[in-house]
Amino acid sequence: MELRFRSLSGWKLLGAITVLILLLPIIFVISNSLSIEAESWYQSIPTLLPLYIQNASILLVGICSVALITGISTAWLVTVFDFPFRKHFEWILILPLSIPTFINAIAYVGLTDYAGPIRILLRWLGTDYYMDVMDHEGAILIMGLVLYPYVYVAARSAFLLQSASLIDVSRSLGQSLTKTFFKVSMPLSWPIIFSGLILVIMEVLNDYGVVQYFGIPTFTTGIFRAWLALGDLQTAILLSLIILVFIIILVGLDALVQHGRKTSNENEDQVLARIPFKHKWLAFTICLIPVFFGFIVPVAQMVWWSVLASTVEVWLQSLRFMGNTAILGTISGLVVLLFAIILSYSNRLSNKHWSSKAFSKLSMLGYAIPGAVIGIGIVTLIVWINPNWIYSGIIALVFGYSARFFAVGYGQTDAGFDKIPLQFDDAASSLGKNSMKRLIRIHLPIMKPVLIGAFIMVFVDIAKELPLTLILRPFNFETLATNAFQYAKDEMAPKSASSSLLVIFVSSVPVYFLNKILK
Amino acid sequence: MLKVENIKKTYDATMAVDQVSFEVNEGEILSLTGESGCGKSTLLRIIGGLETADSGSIFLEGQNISSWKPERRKFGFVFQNLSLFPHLTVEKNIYFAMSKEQRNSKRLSELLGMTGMLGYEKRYPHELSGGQQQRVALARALAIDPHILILDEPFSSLDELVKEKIRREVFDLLKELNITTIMVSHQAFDSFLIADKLVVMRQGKILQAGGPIEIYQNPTSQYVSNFFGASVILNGTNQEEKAHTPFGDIVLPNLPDSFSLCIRPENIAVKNEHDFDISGIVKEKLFKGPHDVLTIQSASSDDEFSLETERCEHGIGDTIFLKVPNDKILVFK
Repeated sequence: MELRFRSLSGWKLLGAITVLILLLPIIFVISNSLSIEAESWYQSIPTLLPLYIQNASILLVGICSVALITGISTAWLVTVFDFPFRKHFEWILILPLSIPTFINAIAYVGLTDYAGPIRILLRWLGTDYYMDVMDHEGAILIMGLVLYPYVYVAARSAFLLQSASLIDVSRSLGQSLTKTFFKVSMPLSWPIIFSGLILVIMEVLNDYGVVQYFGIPTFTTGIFRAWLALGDLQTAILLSLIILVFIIILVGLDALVQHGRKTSNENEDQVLARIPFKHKWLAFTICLIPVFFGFIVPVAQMVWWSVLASTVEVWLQSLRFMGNTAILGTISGLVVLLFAIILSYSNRLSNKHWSSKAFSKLSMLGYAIPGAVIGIGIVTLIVWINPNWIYSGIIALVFGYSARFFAVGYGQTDAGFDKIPLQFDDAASSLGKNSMKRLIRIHLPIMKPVLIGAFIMVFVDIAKELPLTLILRPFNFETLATNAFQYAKDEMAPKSASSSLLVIFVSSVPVYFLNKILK
Repeated sequence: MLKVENIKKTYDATMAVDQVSFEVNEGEILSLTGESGCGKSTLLRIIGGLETADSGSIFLEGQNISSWKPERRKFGFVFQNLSLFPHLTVEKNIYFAMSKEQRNSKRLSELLGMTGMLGYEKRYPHELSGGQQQRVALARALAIDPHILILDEPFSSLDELVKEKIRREVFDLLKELNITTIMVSHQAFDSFLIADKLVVMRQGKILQAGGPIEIYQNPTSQYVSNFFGASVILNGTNQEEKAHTPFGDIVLPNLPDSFSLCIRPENIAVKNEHDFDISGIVKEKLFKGPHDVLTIQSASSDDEFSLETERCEHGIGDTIFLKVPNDKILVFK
């Protein structure tokens, strides 16, 4: 025991510095908001706030409803019943997650506009019908269709985690499957599903692409307007602070829900015997609908466009932007890994003391904060250091990505460390290896697959990221995501197809990992 | 009461239950027993309607219930892990099984009284000990007034100390209520103590069915014999109407050419050189409380067997003489 702790203080210091660096953008938003003059409050609150709150509320309620209904019903079907292609649906249902919300929006706008396939078909049939998806309802459906997998994944793991015999026993006590769902499975799964729902809420708050494209003013568009259009950093900070407070309340609520969570005492028993679904093709159809509209349709639209509009030049350009994306993703991914290793290892050395655990939880806050808010935090930080500096640049971007996506890499790294028995450390210490040598010669080699997995997840998130990139990118610097968004905004949507398809391709990678984790 | 007829179930290519038939009479306690993976739990789930058989039928009081859903069968289940709903109190766990009218009656206190759990109504499952959880699970299963009670490895999650007590209580209660019960157990002695009838299964098939004493004393195969306790097994050949074994010859009628002799240890007595059937040399002697465990080697070969006896004077290297009554020897081909 003694041996393990000897080098603690150095690592502890490193860990503390890591957390501090990652929290800097948030700290700067909060501290700067304190110095905002009362006038700014009066200026922006009555004019902007009610509209932002109203729009955000409509989107949140709508998208959460779509995600809950779709996610829970499909998860229940694939977990409890048996029907054609059920096993494949287990992972196919996650696929829509690989489509960034704004790319789905671009696809649907293209699909329904005058030159889109639906209208062409209608005209060919001798009729025409004006369709507009660029409103609240459209945004709700378009975002709900690609965000529901967060709820699906959570609900499915919750249903799987429940002892299968709970369902059996409920049925043997005379309750139908439907009653069992409401009286047993849902009450027990709710805390886990709630965590999935919180991810949906965070994605909605983070979204800039869809609301900007559709012209629905919310907090993120407000931040962009204030800072990028008007250069009004104070209003941007103010709006960021409001989202921040909301997020902190949400995280607190989640902690409260998780605290009251009751689990069945044993989970190791037999796998649920799946019940054949009476109308098996109905179950098949229910599962196919979200995948069809959330993945197949947008991908097909992009493929159709790339056939129509993508010349060799457009593809070459997209590949160049892919290079940019890859450079950013790789550097930021490595930075995240380095930070994650430092923090996890210093936690391990302190024997997971509650204070260090709580401290490292703080570092994960960035994932909950919208990219736009982190972007504003970094801008204020740079302006504070030297007002004459150019706030946008590769380093600022890498810092922003690291602060925002640290939780993704850290969660996996920490879980990886947890799986290595502490006796390994003791054994290595007794053989005369200090903490650094133990890390390099024991932990890192064992964790290689975990670290690779964590790197890929961070990389993919960066490839999909839009608002943070838009704020902090150097002048004329494009990633796949910003390129796709720019074309769509400039009414040249077909040209966005190649970049969009590349983003979707890269984003499909974690679906494989997610499905593996679920098993 | 319940008749199981030619039940068959395969998973992929594995035969889990193979043409199984048996009957349980009213008020009887039947134990399905066998090693893990012998198909007993699958069979139990098929009886309860939680799994569908590939073929075969189940009759309840003459009515074919094979296609009935589990919620219609009214078979009270107690699972190995007890499966109390963790988000419900004891009271609500039991209410779960009751109709509205029943909830207003005295049924709850009756059930809790029966199982000795009065006063625990407001507790959550995690606030109860293993034995108490067992009682609540039983009370809940009884709350639906089950046609048949189904217990899946009901005692295996309990500590050795409370197991004995709970087993006794459950047995007394089942007998008092005259409830037809089917239980599954991989532990032979659970079955002995509680069941009226045993069904021994192996690889999806029934090897033997009958009362506990009958099965213990007259197992029809070496497997069943071993399953219900250690036996001394001697391989032998027929030499002039005598069983010729490495430890001596025993006179036995109607012997096949080659066979195994199977003898329960309690039927083997330590005697002296003037009165014995078989003999050997003590190779090892282990102290086991009230008993000694001897490893006895043949004087003429490397064959050996182990025998649990009362404390004896023999030391290592001594010759030991044993006597076995002819009618207590089982001969298996």
